[in-house]
Amino acid sequence: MSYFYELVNTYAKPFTSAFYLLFFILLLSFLLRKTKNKKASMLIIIGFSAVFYFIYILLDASKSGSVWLNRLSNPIYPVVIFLVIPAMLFNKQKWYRYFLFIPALLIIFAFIDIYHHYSSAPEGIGFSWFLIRPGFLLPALVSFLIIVQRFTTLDTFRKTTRITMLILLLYGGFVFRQNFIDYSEALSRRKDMTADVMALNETVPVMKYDDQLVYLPAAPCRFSQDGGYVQGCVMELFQRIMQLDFRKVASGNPSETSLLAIAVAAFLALLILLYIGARMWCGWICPLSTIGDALDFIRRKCGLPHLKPSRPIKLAYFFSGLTLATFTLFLAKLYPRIDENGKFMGCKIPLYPFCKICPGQQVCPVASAGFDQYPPVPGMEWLFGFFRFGVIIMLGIFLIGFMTARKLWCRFCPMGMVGGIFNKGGMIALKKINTKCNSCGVCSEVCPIDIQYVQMEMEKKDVSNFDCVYCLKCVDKCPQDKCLSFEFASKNITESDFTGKEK
Amino acid sequence: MKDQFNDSYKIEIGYTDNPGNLKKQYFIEDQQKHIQSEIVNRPSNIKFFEDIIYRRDFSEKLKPRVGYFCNMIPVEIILALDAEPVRLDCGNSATALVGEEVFSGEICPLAKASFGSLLRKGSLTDTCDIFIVPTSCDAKRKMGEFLSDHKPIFMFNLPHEKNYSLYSKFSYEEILRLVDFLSSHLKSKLSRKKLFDIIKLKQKQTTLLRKLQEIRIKMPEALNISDLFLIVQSSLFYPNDLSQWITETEKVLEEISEFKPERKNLRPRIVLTGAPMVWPNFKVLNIIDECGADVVADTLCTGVQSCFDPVVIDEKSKKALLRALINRYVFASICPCFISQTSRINRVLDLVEETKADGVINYSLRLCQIFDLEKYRLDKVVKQNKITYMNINTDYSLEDKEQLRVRIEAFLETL
Repeated sequence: MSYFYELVNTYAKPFTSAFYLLFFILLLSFLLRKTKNKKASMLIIIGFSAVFYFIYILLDASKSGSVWLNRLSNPIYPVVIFLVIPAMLFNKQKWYRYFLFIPALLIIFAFIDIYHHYSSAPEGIGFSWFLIRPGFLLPALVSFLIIVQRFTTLDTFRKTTRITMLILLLYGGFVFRQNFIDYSEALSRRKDMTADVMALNETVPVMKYDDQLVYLPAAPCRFSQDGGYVQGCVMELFQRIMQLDFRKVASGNPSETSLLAIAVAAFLALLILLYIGARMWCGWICPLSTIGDALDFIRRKCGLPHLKPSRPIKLAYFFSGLTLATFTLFLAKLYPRIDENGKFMGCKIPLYPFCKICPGQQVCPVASAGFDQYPPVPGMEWLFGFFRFGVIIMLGIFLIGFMTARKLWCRFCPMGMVGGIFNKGGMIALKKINTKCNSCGVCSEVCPIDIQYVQMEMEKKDVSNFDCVYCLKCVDKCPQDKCLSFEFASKNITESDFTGKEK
Repeated sequence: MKDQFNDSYKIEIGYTDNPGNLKKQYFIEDQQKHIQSEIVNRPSNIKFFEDIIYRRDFSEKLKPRVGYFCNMIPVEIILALDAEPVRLDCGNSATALVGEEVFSGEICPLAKASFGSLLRKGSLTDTCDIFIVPTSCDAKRKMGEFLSDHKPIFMFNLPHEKNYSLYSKFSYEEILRLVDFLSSHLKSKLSRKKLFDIIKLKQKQTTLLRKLQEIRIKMPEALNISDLFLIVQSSLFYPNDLSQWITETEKVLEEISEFKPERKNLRPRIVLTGAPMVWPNFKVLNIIDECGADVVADTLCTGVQSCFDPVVIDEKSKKALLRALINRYVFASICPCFISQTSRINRVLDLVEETKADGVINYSLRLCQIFDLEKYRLDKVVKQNKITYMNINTDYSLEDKEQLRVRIEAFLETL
């Protein structure tokens, strides 16, 4: 098995590069917009892949080139290219059997891999059975979702995706460990009790390849016990960039420079993921939002009504989210100036100031490993109690935001705001055929973020907007056939079909 | 102020007993009945729907009867409160003459006829316990006060603009008032569970009508338009049992989906839009049918459009259910009483595209200002889209029947 994996790993390496994904999606969106000839497009893509493969091999031969290429490679990218995008673009009726063949193979491989690890690991270790190579696990999960998608409604499919991703992002952290030695190493580092409540390595994701960082545009918290499949959220990356000491970079300090290089690589990869998914990461993958939706589910089951926040409250939410993010990012900038007591001008400043007030850091660890993992509340010595009250207020807002007003939190979430920038002009879009609309308001009613723009807009075709998380509820529920549609690279993926659903 | 009208200047009701007029009313109904009985291809269980519509004695009622006007009153609430909803819009030209005794002659025949039927003892309108009237047009808005002399009445205030962000809250408060009014007069409480079940039942009606429409678009000869209108209106205008109606309509659907036309249908296809046509006022429908054209789709609030929009439920709390009702009854409406006619034109153009229709006929009721004023833009836009268009301006009376026939024949020649 490991021989097979190594073989694939060596020869498929160019396809794990973020550059391949970048060029692939650019070419794809260009081809989908310009030509209708499918065969020619396929040939162009295959030709491009061959050229890219050749260039990659050449670059990989040089030393600095291979370091950079390594930083930008991750198993997520080939999964997106070879499973997610074909599953969206190809005719589902015609190609379904091919989608079954590859996934079935992958799932079998994943099971063999789990069995292999399980039989070789010593007994009595909790999650040791979960050791599995990401190259198997990721495609297996994604192909499982592709298979599920065929048999379920859009609503059930979204829920399945969310739960699968929640499990992956909160419990799947150990899959990056290649074997049991890595696993025990990670455990020993995690048990470092000398670390302060604010210290960096309290639950830092320990990865074998420390310079291959992937940040998701959603909020997969880096503090969750078995998390670490990805490095963390957008805000974590931004804080990391802010913490860099640029005086050291200027003087050519090698460790600081390599930190900058890693961050730049991670940022580039993040931009590519954002361009593909925009805020769809929030609506379909984000574990924080999934946990919030569990609260929402309880409210629904109890038959309680939801509040609709008024316009000023929404605006206040938006700007306070923005202000908090900016303020905490500037606090992160103080990190290089902290003295040996861990203080700056007499106050203690944490390494990751935003994480200290973010409810994700409170909620995700609890969801992943029970209430034992609840992080201690910061004391009053941290910036005059700013973090102490901040964490309590933000957690309160998170819980109330999800329990009473559906996704009130999401219009406030700084992690999502970054995705919102790409909502218009990215690969995905929400389209509306205005002549089919009778402005009945169903889309406004079902929208978890209370977007009324989709209903009110009667002239423009593109109705994507900043707050939208692409949960596609409006497309699902719209009573006018073909009125609303979801597009990927200007190709229609799904559209509202009321009559079809009733049959 | 709790009630919308006070009793300070109440005027005693003056019932009119006019046997000649009643005879004329029945004659008009019988005439329509006769015309419809000669349709070639009728569903086998049309008797069920006819029995509902041809009923003349309404004195016995099992539940309190709530009469309402227009297509903008949430019927689900009335049903959930264990009452019987009856839509009171009347289409009989003889009744309109009775109404003229109170109203002036310059009011639209629909308002006159609806009010006129109240003035006869034992009519359907007279047996209602409560009225609900939306403020959709001027005639309806002012008619409320006339009706308030007779029975408790609630005026349902509609926004003038379909601006969701501004008026959704307003409409929600208005619907809460309606619920309060109804539950205080009917002495029952609105339960969430019951409302949900009723909405589910009404959704079935919508789906059924959508399916009927779909089949009729493919082969309009499978079900005559007058019969379709009869089926739809029997569920709205007369006391009926909705679940029974659904089972019977399912039979109709089954029957017409197995229908195989003998020859190719070459009759021109028409999309009908405009003012409501209420049984027995099927004058225009009859003429179009006799002149050899098929009405494949309509946007009339008494036709398929009346139940075309479903109530979409997302959450099951009472508040959310009421909001879903508002969306369907207020914001999805394409009535010209709203300031913008975009959604109606959209609907017409969309139907023409969907049905591949040859022409559009706009039926504007004489003295109905809002439909009359909308005709200008509709005319221009439809013609811009290279679709043949004709406007018919008529009222309930049967006198201009032959003139209309000439005009419609000439119009069908141009297709």
